[in-house]
Amino acid sequence: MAESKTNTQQDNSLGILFNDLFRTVRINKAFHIWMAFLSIALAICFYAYYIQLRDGLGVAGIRDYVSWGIYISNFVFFVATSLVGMLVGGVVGLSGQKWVTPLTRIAEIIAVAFAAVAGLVIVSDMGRPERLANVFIHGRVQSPILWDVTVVTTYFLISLLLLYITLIPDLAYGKGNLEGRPKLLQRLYEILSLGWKGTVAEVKILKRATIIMLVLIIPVALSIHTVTSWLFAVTLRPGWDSSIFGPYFVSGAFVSGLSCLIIAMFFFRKNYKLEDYITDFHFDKVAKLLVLVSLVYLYFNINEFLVPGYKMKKFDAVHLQQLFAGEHALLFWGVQLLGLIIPIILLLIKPFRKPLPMLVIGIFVLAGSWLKRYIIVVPTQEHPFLPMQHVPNNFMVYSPTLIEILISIAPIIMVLMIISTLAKLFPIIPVWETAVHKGLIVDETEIENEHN
Amino acid sequence: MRFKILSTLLVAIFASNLFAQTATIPADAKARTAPFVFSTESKEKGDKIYQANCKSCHGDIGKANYAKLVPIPKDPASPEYQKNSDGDMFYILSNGKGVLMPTFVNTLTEEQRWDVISYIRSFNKDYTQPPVKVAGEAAKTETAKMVLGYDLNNKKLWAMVTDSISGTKKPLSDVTIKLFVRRTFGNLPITQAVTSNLGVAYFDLPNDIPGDSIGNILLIARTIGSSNELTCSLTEKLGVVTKPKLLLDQRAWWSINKMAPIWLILLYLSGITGIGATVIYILLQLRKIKKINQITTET
Repeated sequence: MAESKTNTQQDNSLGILFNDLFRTVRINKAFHIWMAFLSIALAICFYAYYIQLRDGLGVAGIRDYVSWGIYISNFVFFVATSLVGMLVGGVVGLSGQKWVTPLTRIAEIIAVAFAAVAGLVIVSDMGRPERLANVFIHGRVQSPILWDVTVVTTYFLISLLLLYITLIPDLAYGKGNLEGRPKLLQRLYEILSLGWKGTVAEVKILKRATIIMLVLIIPVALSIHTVTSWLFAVTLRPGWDSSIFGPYFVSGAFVSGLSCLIIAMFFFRKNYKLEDYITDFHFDKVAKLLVLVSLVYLYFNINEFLVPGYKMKKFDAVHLQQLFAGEHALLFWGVQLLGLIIPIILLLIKPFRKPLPMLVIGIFVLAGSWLKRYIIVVPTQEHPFLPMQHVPNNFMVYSPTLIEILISIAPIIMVLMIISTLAKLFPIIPVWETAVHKGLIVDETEIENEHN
Repeated sequence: MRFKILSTLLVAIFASNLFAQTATIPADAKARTAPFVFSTESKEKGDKIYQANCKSCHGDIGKANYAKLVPIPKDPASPEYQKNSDGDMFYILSNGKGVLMPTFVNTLTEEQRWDVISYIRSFNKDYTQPPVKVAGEAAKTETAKMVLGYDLNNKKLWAMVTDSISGTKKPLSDVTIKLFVRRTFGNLPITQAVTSNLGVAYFDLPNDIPGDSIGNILLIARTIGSSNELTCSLTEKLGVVTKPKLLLDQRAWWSINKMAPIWLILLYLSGITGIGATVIYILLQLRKIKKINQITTET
């Protein structure tokens, strides 16, 4: 098809494409206001953290029994959401689904932002954060904590590298399309693009590097969330003592990651006026993907609750009673229905697979994903095997304090700041790949492959 | 129905038997009194022994916070407990009672047992100590002595009891001596022997007692049946050399980092190296792209 077009037509449409996709690379007033707002909010949260550093973890609601509160729920949520980079780029991308191209960078940026902040979330749960280095100095290779630190760091670095590799051609094209932008930004593009010219040799290397990274990111991403689940599953406590915790967490991670992607898609499409690139078709596809992963997650949920619920072993029974009909029942059923079952049913109906309804559903699913982590982390700790004796009431029942909530909001603000900054500095849709898919730039390696 | 009544009756009889084992204290034991006058010092010593050995069941004296067991371990300060004679208490403390109260004859010396009674009596304002009586045949005075030794030539362990009551040393015969070996959780009774006319008793020691890493065991000899109990101890290489196998000596999941399973260390390191090598390879590829471009720019 591309060959039938005349050169001028091609140049013209390429120009439009460049204009559309590089238009968003600018630091405008709205961005300044947005970042100022986030900074002020972050400063308030940091003040809350300062109080925690000064007075100790007692300012949070966590006590001896429930020692993992919303901080650790937050951590699990962050690790989970970052898995979307692997799902979209790795699993869907490697299987040759071309439609996913415009979404890969958004997914990678989400992955980088959430993975970068996940480590910080753990630190917020530490009373003496300066002792973090002890994990490395005195860490035991047998401890899932050490594995977790290792894989989360690795995943962040790999995600960052993958984001960069796929950016290289775009940075090169960007050099000529950034008139009027800050000189510093243009210089940054110059350096980072490695002088990319788009020759066959370069494209070959880049493609190979990308594929290697996409293959590598799959096991690493699987292991980060599997290991995170093992932090719970290697203990004997009811509600955590489960052999399917790994896949249960990973499938849940895809759900929260995709819902985050849907929200991001909606905002970028609307604010960056990318309706021509992120179309209803993409929303429809992502909706179907969300239904698929949600069904898998639902399947694991049924296994996770029905099987112990059928047996009702002594201690499991106390825990499950709390979830099904007790103190946490409203939250539990709310999350299962509003965050999983109803979204699945709605997304099976075509009119709901449009951007706006999907935004609403996405927000519900994402909020459900966060609360689901709370349900996994907290209720188990309220029922230790040994009876709780001679302790004040606030040791028995956990409720987060305002300071704790503010400290937990901080990483969310940081993620928004990272995503906003990256989305302003670099094109949010892969320019080169889109141009190749549209036939506006000829990928000579593809032609070579076809001849072979 | 009839069976039910019968079984209830049986249980009742059995239970009453179980709880009513106080009546078996012999008269002479009942009449026994402490060999010393209870003092603040003996009370304080008794306090320490009580905290270490008795509190877990009997609770803090006077607070009635004893363990919830059946039969109930009574509070030693309670009137029904205090109405026991000193001899009763000493007998129960020495020989145990019922299914729960253990014997302390081997774990506490006589003096220590009397110290505990001294402590328990300090909670009873109406208590007056009966006159101190010295009973028994052997070692009846403060001047009696016991020595424990090992005869290398005959390979025999011996104990000798003498009394220097009138300035001259006289051997004491017919003294029963019990021999113990110190173990982690108390003294293990091994054997007993009676002194001869020469005041000497020989002990036959089993040759398979586990000792420490060089075979040492701590032997404790104690006279019995005398009012002034004599004790002495001796450390000898008479045990089997035992090198304790520490749990941390093996490679295991739960061991220290240095003792991690080798396969786990290899798996962890190979994972890290594999990923690290891939990342380095990718970075080298990026450098290659940069080099290609430098050449094309120059030409």
